[in-house]
Amino acid sequence: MNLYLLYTDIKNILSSKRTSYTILIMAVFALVFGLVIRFSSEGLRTALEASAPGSAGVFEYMWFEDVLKFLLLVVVSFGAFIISDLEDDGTLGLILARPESRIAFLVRRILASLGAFFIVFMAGAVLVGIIAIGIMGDLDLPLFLLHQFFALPLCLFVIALAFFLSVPLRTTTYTVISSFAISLILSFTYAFSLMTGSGTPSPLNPLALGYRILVNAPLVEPMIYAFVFSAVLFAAGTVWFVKKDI
Amino acid sequence: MDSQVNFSAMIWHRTFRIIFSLRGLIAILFSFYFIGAIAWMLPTITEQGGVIAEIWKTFSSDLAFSWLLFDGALSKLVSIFIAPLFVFDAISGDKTGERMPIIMSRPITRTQYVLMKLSSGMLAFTLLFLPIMGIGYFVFSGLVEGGLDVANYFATCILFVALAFFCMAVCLLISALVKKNLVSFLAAFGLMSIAMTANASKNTSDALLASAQLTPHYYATYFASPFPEPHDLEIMPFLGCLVVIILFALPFLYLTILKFKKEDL
Repeated sequence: MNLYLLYTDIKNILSSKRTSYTILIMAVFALVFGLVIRFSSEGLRTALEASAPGSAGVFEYMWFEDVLKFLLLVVVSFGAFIISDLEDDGTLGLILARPESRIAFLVRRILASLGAFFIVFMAGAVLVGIIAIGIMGDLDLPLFLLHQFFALPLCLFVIALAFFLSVPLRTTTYTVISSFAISLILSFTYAFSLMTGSGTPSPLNPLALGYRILVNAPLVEPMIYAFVFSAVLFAAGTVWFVKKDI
Repeated sequence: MDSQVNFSAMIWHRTFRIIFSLRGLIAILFSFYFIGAIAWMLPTITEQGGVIAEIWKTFSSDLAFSWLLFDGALSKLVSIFIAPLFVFDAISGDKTGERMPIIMSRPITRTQYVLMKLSSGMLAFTLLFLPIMGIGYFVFSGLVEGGLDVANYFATCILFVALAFFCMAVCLLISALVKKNLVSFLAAFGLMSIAMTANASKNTSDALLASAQLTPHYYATYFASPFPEPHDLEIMPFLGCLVVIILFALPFLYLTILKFKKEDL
């Protein structure tokens, strides 16, 4: 694989509006939800803290339970980078004409997307933690960052889903709305199952990983499932793309 | 309006294109998923602890259910997903695909173009939302003890159509301001998620209730929420809520037209 091209791709994502919007949206959500908790009643804060024994503070409960659903929209945008961006620009055919196999091309784009997402997400998490401490004052920042790291398989699954859907759907618009819709449905499914008192959500649902972190539930099994599902989606999308007539 | 332009035909054409596209399908599937999920969890939800069970004990089943459906689920679903879905790329999409010069070479004014985009989005939303909510009414009324108040249910549905109008006006402005669909998607869906936060948390404190009153979401759920107090459906407060939501939307629509008129295409 051409490492220089990989470096260029990562640099392109990091300098794009996608990155600045991701950091901005994370910061604004941190500010808004930090203020929501700050102005909530003491009783509610105590109840939230009690229902999330493994969390780094009340803010983290809100972050995983509410904000993560909305943040899926920035996660899918990184999945759309792999193919859809080039389809939109009309440059995919031109780039594939270069002496590089389609598999090598996809592996490079996927690694660039995941690498850039990791950098942006963790940088955003540091900023979110600082904002939360500024507003609330009682967040365990190292634990919060560790939990964000544990939530990465969830994001990996969403990126893989967006990539898989981008192969048949082509355009960025359809890729992001369909992958955002499916991710939201998976998120709401575990949220609804919790409301009916079904206990800890199924480990098969990668979108429930955030909740499992909060309640100190075992993480190994759901993480393995998330990695396996992501690998299957990446592999299926790659095979489809390689055989596709561009 | 220009006499050469069949404005209503353009609106209907685009409306059906939205409904019979992937985004129409997603909106339908998403709505039916919500109706099914709420119907599935309704029999067991009151047996669980927490805020929902408390509200069920304190208020009538009809009001508690309306709060769960409209305030708890639909105000989020409509404002953060379904309404932006129909218009978030309405203008930016034409800019990206370089179709704009071709469209603008036709006998259509820029104001007509913006109004056509908004009207078709609204029409598509209304044609999908109201029939699905009608089906929902028959599903839910059999599950809620004592049935549902039909007038209150459909009055709130109409207020939600007005809420969608507000969301679409905001998303259309974003779509006019940016050039890329992806940026429009991030900005529109992100902003709508933030806009509904105060109303979603209004039951937690007086400060958040006061903030919620500055958003159209509060007025859309005025008759469906027991917070700060239950409101009986009456014609004047209903019309008042409708007008307030539309007034929230009009500045955004005006700014969209203004921005698009001045744009160098």
